[in-house]
Amino acid sequence: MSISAKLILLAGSAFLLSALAAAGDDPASVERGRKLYLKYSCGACHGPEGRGGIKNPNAIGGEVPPLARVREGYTLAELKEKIEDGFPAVLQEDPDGPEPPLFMPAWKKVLSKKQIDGLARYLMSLLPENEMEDWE
Amino acid sequence: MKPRRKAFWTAAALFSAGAVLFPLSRDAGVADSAGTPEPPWESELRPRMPRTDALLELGQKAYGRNCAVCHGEKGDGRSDAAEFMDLKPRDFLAGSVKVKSTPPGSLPSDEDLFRTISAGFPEYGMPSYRYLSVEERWGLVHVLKDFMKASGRKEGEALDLGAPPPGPPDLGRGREKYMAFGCAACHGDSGGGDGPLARYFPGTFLDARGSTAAPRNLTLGPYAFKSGGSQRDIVRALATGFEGTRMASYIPALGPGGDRSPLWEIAAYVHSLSRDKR
Repeated sequence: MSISAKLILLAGSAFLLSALAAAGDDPASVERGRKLYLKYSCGACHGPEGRGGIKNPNAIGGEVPPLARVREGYTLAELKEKIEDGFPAVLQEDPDGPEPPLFMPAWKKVLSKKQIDGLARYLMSLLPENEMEDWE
Repeated sequence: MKPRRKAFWTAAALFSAGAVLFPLSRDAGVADSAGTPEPPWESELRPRMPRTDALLELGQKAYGRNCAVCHGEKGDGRSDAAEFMDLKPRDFLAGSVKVKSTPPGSLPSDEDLFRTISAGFPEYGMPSYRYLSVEERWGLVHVLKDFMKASGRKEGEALDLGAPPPGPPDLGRGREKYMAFGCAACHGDSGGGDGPLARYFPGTFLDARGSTAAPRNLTLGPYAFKSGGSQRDIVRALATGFEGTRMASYIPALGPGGDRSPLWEIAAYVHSLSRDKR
């Protein structure tokens, strides 16, 4: 192999790696995240594999938000922040109505930074890049 | 004896009385489709006894002797005994009770109050008062209703619970609905009261009066359920919710038309989780 071919290969793999990291497709962390999603019963509110459909009376839309397409609305950093701090005050359909029973708790005291990173990467991996809707 | 000490021992005595009397009070009755016997007071609460001076006087005497020690002379839930309780005695003036058949925000029905007086909440220190006569218990209902007038709340019609779907209950479908209605978020995947949100209850999940209100362990039922363990009782709890706690009314979750069958399917599934099948 010539020097230039090696360089092209190196540059190519570096580009590929960085693209994967940006998309959150680090397989080991994704798998760690998937296990955490099951262990901490995230699906009890967000549905299996983040598919949603779980009722939450008087929350906007009447359901807990699904996570399967969360990659379209959040960056990895934003998603990690959401998991860390939670979202205790769920937006209400009727502001004078009862408080929705389910809310997003803060996980930073329960999970480590590494675990939250894995969880966020798993959630990002639920939507393959070629299925993302183009918002531009 | 010092008043505070007296209050403590009265509360302790009531608590033990509840533990002894409670199982005895669930004796006879007609079984529902799931085999849970109808409690005996269901036949005692018909016909409804309307308010008369004589009945009210009987109720006031019974209140002073039996209820005031915890719920307070004025019915505001303030008493020496209350200080020793984690879950505080009901403040009747607020007009809000957890166990009822009417929509959130409205007063309980007369029958709701009669049932609660008769059944008690033995796990929480309120024994069954079925040893009082039927007249005394109806008198108490009217005393409580007088207290509740202070809340300005209106009476409500009992919520329509529908009827159980025909045929044997489909527990697989019940399990599906249990998950889809988010029950597992608090009550846990296997009903043990250990869902992912349960860890946030101590301290944060306080009811309106500052008592902790943890999600129920559904495997301990049916008699560990505060509002009764028959399938109809469970459907009613799902329909009305428990006011002042995170347990909401799930009627809005039924969508347009409000078909009640998901509630019955969940109830059959929850009933099947009980270790105690009496």
